[in-house]
Amino acid sequence: MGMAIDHHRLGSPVPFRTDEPTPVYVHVPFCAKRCWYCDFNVVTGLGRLTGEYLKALIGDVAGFAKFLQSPRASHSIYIGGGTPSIISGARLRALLEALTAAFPPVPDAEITVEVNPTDATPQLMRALADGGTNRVSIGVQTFDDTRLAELDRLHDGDRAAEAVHLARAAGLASVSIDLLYGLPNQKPDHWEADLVRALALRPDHISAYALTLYGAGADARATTLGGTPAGDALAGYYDLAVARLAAAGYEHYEVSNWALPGHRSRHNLAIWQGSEYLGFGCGAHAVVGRRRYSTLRMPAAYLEARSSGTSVVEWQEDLTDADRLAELIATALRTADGLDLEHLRGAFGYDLVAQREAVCASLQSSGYARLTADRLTLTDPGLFLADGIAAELLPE
Amino acid sequence: MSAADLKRIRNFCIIAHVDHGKSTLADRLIEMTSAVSDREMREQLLDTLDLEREHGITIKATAIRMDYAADDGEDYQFNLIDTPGHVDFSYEVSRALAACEGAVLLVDASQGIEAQTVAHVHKALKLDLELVPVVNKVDMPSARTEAVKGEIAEVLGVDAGEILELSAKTGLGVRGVAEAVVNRLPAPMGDEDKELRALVFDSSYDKHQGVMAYVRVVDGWLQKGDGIRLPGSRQDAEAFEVGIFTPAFQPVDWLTAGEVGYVGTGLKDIQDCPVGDTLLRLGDDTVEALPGYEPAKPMVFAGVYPEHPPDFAALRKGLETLRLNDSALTFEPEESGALGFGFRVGFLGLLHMGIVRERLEREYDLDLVMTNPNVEYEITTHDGTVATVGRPSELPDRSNLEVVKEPWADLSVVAPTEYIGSVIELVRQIRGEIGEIEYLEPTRVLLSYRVPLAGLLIDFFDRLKSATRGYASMDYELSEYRAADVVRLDVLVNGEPVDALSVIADRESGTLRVREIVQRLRKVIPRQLFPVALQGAIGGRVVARENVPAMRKDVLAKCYGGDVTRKRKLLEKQKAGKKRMKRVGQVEIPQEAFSSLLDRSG
Repeated sequence: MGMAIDHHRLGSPVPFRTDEPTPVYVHVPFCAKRCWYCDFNVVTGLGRLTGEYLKALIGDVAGFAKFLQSPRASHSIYIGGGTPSIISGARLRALLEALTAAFPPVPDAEITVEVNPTDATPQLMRALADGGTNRVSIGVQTFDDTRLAELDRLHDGDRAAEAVHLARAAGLASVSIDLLYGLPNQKPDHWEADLVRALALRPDHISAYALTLYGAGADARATTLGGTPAGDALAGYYDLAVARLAAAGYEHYEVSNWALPGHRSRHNLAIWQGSEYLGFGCGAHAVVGRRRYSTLRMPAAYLEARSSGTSVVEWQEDLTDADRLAELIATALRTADGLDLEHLRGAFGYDLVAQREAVCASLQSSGYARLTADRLTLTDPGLFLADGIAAELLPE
Repeated sequence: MSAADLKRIRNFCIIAHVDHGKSTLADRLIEMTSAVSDREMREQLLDTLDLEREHGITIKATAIRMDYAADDGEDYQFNLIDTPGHVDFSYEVSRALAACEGAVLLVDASQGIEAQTVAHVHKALKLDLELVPVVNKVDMPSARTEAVKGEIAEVLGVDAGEILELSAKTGLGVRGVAEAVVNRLPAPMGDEDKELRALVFDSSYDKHQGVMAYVRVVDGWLQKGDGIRLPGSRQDAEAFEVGIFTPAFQPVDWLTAGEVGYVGTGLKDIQDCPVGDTLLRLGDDTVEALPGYEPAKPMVFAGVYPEHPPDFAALRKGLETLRLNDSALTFEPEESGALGFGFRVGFLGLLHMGIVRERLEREYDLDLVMTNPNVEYEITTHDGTVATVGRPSELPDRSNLEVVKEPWADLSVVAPTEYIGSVIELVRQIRGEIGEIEYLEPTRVLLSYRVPLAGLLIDFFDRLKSATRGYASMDYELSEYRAADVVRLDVLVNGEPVDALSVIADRESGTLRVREIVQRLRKVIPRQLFPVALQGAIGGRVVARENVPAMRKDVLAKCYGGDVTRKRKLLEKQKAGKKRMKRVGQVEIPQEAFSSLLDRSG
């Protein structure tokens, strides 16, 4: 056994528990085309690097596991992007095998791969299923072909629906679709049509996001396209999703996420509830102990670090208790489970209800929150205000 | 100094409206007499405060001595006392005038005589000053030199032929002005053999030398080390330094009758050396003081609070330090339910208020919350108690009020004749009494009114400017207190009265006014998690309502692993933003809400 290198700069001994199954995130930054509204770490025109990237990634994962010395189980694995499905089925399968070898999944582990409808083929779906994938997340965005073209997407609505069928046919246990609302030129009727079409496909899970514009470029583009609904108008779209999806039997378990019973994303839930998580690939984020870090964003820099054996860490911060508390409030509040008041008291010494009595009372009387002996949870209208409410619930 | 020497002194100031070229003429005179080396020469040299240079206005009077070689072959000592141009500081003009024998009246050839200029001319004439009328900027294409000469002749009752032409910018006519100062303005009277009498026309505070009294020696003489006394403040002191203005302080051996200079007194409080007092020799107990002048009186009062409560002590220190050089500034502590501990501060006017605020924020690094300003009322309660009220929350109930009096002012406006109707309408809106019309020239008039000062306070000047397309100018002076029928307008936020939002208004327009206030508040109070109900009330009766509806969306759509740090940073920012706001119950009220009436855009 060779020397284990701390290329994630965690220090030694590793300052975190190794006995608890952990979520594992893997980032694949490549895309065929950049969508103007996208804020993720994405590169285009670098398809030739995918083979080398996969090799480096597998080495990264294996090296990390070696550094841990004792193997750590994975609670969930999530391969996201960018466009993971741009990579061939065979290579994805190899990556999945390396991941499960390094971090043996617990028996009910959720293993997700994001799939772009453009890439959806029976072969790809088969390879994913064979590699152990039990969940796919399909980037539908909308079924409206005009909107899809305006969003720079390379598929149409039928293709997106087809992707869902293919995933089902391959036996993938859980199929999720992503939808966007509040698009330029999108009227409430269009959004309702999207919801109807989505529900007809009966996916196990639906993520419905309000389009968020990051940066002046996106703002300008959205304006050129005809502008997006904001504030109260956008809330109308949200209300529509809340009503339609609830009526169809979906549980609203996070601000932008709905699931049929038993299909909530356990990977994301763990992160919202303050779990540690590992991250691999370029521009991936991880939280290990008190350390949060992200890896080199640019594939070339990442590949260079991997080949020279140097650190892949680009940025890091060590979280204080106050930081962790703030983050937990901000993220857990987004979920249907809400805040575990006993946990806040026990882990942070924060008696939220006592210290925020007036706010809690107003939140309840205005119908934004429900308070029980051990939990504070937000209602549907409250979830759409979760950030503002979180700010009110932080300690002084 | 002999009587012959006295004849070669000229003490004068320049009376001019803002932007009519006073500072430029002063600069040209200074250059011509080389009182200041080129290295020291800055544009608008007399404006010493940074703020003055930035605003292009003079706030405090300063002085400079120049030696001028006149055409008659003699050398003359010029003491030019600079005067502020803004109406807030017009009392400083009176001080400066009292220290002079004459003044140069400077009028812009395009703009003509403005209201303030007329007011200052009247003050000068009342003091028997000689005037040298000058039309400036005669080189401008828009100059109406002959018409403006006509206006000056009308106001001064002089022959148009006596009026000089000048371009201070190009230097044309500067020497002519200097010659007129020599030939037309009288030399100071005064007798250096008499007992010392020196008029304190201004003062400043130096942290090493204490109060520096700016004096015009009327009789006698004074040298370093002399014992002095100030009958007004009953203070004794030692003149440990005497000197002249170059314009920097330059020590000299002595100052004698007719001269202008400064005296370092070592006094620690500017109130111990009040402007208008007479400086006498210690031991000369029978000498009568000179007629002084009224101390500057604040006319506008506002609550000033630190945004961060722990800054209260720093705010006190800042106000105390500013008062060392600004005797017109008054303040006393007050407490507000919404804003905590702060001060009720008295100002000369809104410009003064703005300048004080800016200096506190800049020089003392304070973030301030200010309330809407108001005038001071004289009240008599049923038991006969008389008090002045400068704070809305102190206005007693109507049931306990015998009489309320409010300050009135004499307002003068100069405007083209076509706007007379608009000006009258504006004056009527503020409950003013229509007065006289005097024609300066066939197309421009001087209008005189008596108006409640409260009506001038907030935005009268802006409204006047917009009603006359910028052509009108105004001046005002406190004239009297008159009975008033006023009410306190209260604002309730979600049912809770907020003391710092209360204002006083006349009963008749109270309902309109409080409606305007809650409407403005609705605009400045951002939408928040919970709806905000705003109510305007008079005497406990709600007469206006507005609602700020609750926000519907305040959440980022996505929050996955890579977004969490961004989310936390955003929360921290949000939290910091909340700290800047004042809280009433669950409602966050931004600072600007407390001075919403000053927001001209509203």
